[in-house]
Amino acid sequence: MNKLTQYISKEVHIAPLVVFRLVFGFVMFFSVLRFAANGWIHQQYIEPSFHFTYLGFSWVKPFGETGMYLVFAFMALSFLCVALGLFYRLASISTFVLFTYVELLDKANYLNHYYFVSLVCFLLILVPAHRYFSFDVYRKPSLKRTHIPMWSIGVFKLQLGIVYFFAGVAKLNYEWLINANPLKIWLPAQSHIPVIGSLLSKTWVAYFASWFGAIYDLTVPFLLATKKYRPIAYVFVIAFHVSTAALFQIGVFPFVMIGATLIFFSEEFHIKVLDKLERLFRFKPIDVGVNNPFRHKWKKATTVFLVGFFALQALLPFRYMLYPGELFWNEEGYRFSWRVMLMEKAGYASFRIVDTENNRSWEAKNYDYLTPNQEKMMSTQPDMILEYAHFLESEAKQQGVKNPEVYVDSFVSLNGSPSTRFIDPLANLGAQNPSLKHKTWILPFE
Amino acid sequence: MLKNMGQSVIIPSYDEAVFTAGELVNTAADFVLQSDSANLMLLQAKFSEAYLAFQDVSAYEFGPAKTVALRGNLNTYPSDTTKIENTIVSGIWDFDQLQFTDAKGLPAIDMLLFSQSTTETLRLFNSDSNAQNRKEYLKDLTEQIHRLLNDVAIGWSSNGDNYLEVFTSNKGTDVGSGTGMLVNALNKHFERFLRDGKIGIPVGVRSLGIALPEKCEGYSSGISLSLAIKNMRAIERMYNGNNLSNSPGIGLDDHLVGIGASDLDNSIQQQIAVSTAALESLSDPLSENIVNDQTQVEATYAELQKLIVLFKVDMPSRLGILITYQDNDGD
Repeated sequence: MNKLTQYISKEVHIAPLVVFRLVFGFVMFFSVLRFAANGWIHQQYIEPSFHFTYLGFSWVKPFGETGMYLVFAFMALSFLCVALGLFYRLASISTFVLFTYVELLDKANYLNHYYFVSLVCFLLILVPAHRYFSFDVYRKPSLKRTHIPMWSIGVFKLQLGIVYFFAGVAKLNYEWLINANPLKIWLPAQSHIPVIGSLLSKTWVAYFASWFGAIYDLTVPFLLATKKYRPIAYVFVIAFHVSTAALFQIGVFPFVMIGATLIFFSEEFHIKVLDKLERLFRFKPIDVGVNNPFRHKWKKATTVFLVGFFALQALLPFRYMLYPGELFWNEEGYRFSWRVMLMEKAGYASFRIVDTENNRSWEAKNYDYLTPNQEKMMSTQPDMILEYAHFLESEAKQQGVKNPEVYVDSFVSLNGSPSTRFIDPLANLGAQNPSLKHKTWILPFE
Repeated sequence: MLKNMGQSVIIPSYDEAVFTAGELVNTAADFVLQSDSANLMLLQAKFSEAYLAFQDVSAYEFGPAKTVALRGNLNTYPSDTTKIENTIVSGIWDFDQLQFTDAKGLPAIDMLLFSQSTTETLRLFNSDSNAQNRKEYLKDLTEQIHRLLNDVAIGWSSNGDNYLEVFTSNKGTDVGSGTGMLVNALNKHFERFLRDGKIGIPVGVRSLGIALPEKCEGYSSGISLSLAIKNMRAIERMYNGNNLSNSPGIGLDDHLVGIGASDLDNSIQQQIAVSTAALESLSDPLSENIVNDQTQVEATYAELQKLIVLFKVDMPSRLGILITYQDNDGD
C-alpha cells in the first residue's frame, strides 16, 4: 500500500487534467443544452405521471415543471463553470449532484454513458483541475499549481480504461461473436446510408464489426497507455466513435469519448494545447513568482478510497454470476456493467388486475401511465415490470378494490428470436417484493 | 415499399374517403333542404359509406393527418349527447375548437341520424323548435369532415404539398423515417383504436370487467362490427401493401421476407386471419353481442392481443425500428 501511495502521489504536470476539464465541461454543457432543445426535459421528466425508481432510491422525485427546468439550467451553468474553472469546487459538486439526481429519477432513461458521466463528475470533485488556466487562478493567483499528484490524472485514465475493457469483456459471448447479433439486425437497417450502405447488409460486415468492436474495446486502453501505439490507437478511437455516431442513435457519447481519451496523451502535448489556447484567447498566464508545491493531504486515505472505488467498479460487472439463468433474458445484474449496444430486445407486457372479492378482472392501459420509451423499457426488464405492477396494484386499491391481484401477460424477443412468454402468467406480482434476490417468476430463456 | 404504400395504398384510400365524404356533404345538403324520410334514408346510407371509407385511412396518423389531428377530429367517440343537444339549442359552435371534440365528427352524425326512431328524427329536423339549428349543425359537421379529409389528401398529393416525397425519401428506421412512421402508426392505431377503442373498451377490459356497450363505435347506427372488420382489413393491407381492391403490392410483409424473416411473416399472416375470423364470428349490433355474450367478444379481444405482440415486438425488432428520438445505448 505504501508503494502504491508513493507511486500515485508522484508529481506530474497539470496540463492533461486541465485539457480534460475543458473538453469534458464544454461537451457536457452542450449536451445539456441539446437535451433541453430536443424537448426531453418535458418528455422525460415532466410529462410522465409515473417513474421507474432504483431500488432504495424511490424517495428521489422530480420537481415540477419550473423546478426541473431550473435543475437543468443550473446543471448547464455548472458544467460551463467546470470548463472555465470558475468556482470550481462548488461547480464540480453541483454537476455531480444535479446530474446524478436526474439520472436517479427514472430507470427507464438509464444509459451506460450517463453512468459514466456521473462517475467522471464525481472524480472531478476530488482533483485540483482548476489550479491552472482557469478563472479561479485569475481571481486568486495563489491557487496556481503547475504540478499535481499523478493520481489526479490517472483516475480518469483508469476510469476510461474500465469503460472500454469491460465493454469488451461483455462482448465476449456466443451471440456477439458467433452469431454477430445484434449487429446482424442493426446494420442492415442502415443500408440506406450513402456509399457504405450496400456493405451494411452483408453478413460478413456484421461479423467484422462485431469482432473488431470486441478487440477494439479490449485493447484500446492499453494501446493508448503506450507511447508507441498511442497515435494509431487514437486514430482507431476517432474512427470507431465516428462510425457508431453515424450508425446509431447514441447522442453525444462518441464525442465525450473522443475528447476524454485525449488525456492519455503526453504532458508536452497538453502543454502545447494550452499554449495555443493562451495565444488564441490572449489569456495571460499569471506568474506567481515562486511555484508553490502542491500540498498533498490525506495521502493514505486517498489511496485506500481510490482502491475501493475502482475495485467496486471492477466487481459490479460480475455480480450477474450470483444469479441463475441467462443474463440477457433475466437482466439480473445487467446495469452498471458497461454492457453497451449488446442486444436487440423488445417486449410487450399487458397487465391484468383481478378483483378477488367480486371475481372480476380487467386490463391496464399502459399508454395511460407510461411514455412509449418507458413502456418499451418496462416490457423487457423484470424489475421494472414488478415496480409497475405494484403501481397498478395501488391504483386499483385507490379505486376501492380491496384485494387486487396483478398478473402480466408478457412476451419478449431477444436478438430477433420469435417472441416467447417472459413472465409466469400465474404469478401475482402484487405479492412479490422488489429486492436484489433472484426473481423466480421470470420464465427461463429457451 | 414506401413508394407502393404511398402511391397505391395511402393516397387512393384518402381519395376514396374524400369522395365518400363529398357525397355525405351533398346528401346532407339535400336532406337539409327537404327533410323527408327518403332523403334521410339516403343520407344514412351515405353516412355508413363515409364511415366505412374512413376506416381505410384512420391508421395513417402521421404527416398531413397528424397535422390536422384527423383521427381525433373525425372519430372521437362516444359523443357527448348532452353537449350536442345543448349546443344545438344555443345555436353557437365552432368545430375547430377543442371543446367540441366529443360533439362532432362521424360519431356526432351517428347520434343525430340514428339515435331516435325515424319519425322522431324527422320531427327533430322539421317541426322541433330547434330544427333549423339542428340542420345547420348537421351540415357543418359533414363539411368539416370533408374539409379535413381533403386537406390531408392535398397534403399527400404531388399537386399539393407532396408529402409522398417526404414519406418515400426518409429512408432508414428511426422515428422520422417512412418505415418508422408506418410501423409506429400501425402499432399505435391497432393497439389503441382498433383493439381497445372498437372492442376492448366496450367489452369492459378497461373498466373493472364491466361491459360498456354504449361505448361502441357507431353505437346508434349499429354498424360497429362492420367498421371494426373494415378497419382490420385496412390494417391487413397496411401490412401487406395491398391496394383498395386488395391486389398485392410491396409491403412490410415483403420487407420481412427480404431480410429472411419469412417465419415471422407467416405467423403474422396467420394471426391476421385468425383475428379477422374472430371478428367475423361476432354480429352487429356489436353492443348487443357484448350484452348477450361478453365472453365471445373477450375471446376476440384475446386474438387481437396476440397479433399486437407480433406487430409491436417481433416486427420492429427484426426491422430495427426505433420508437423515440431519445438517445439509446442498446436495450
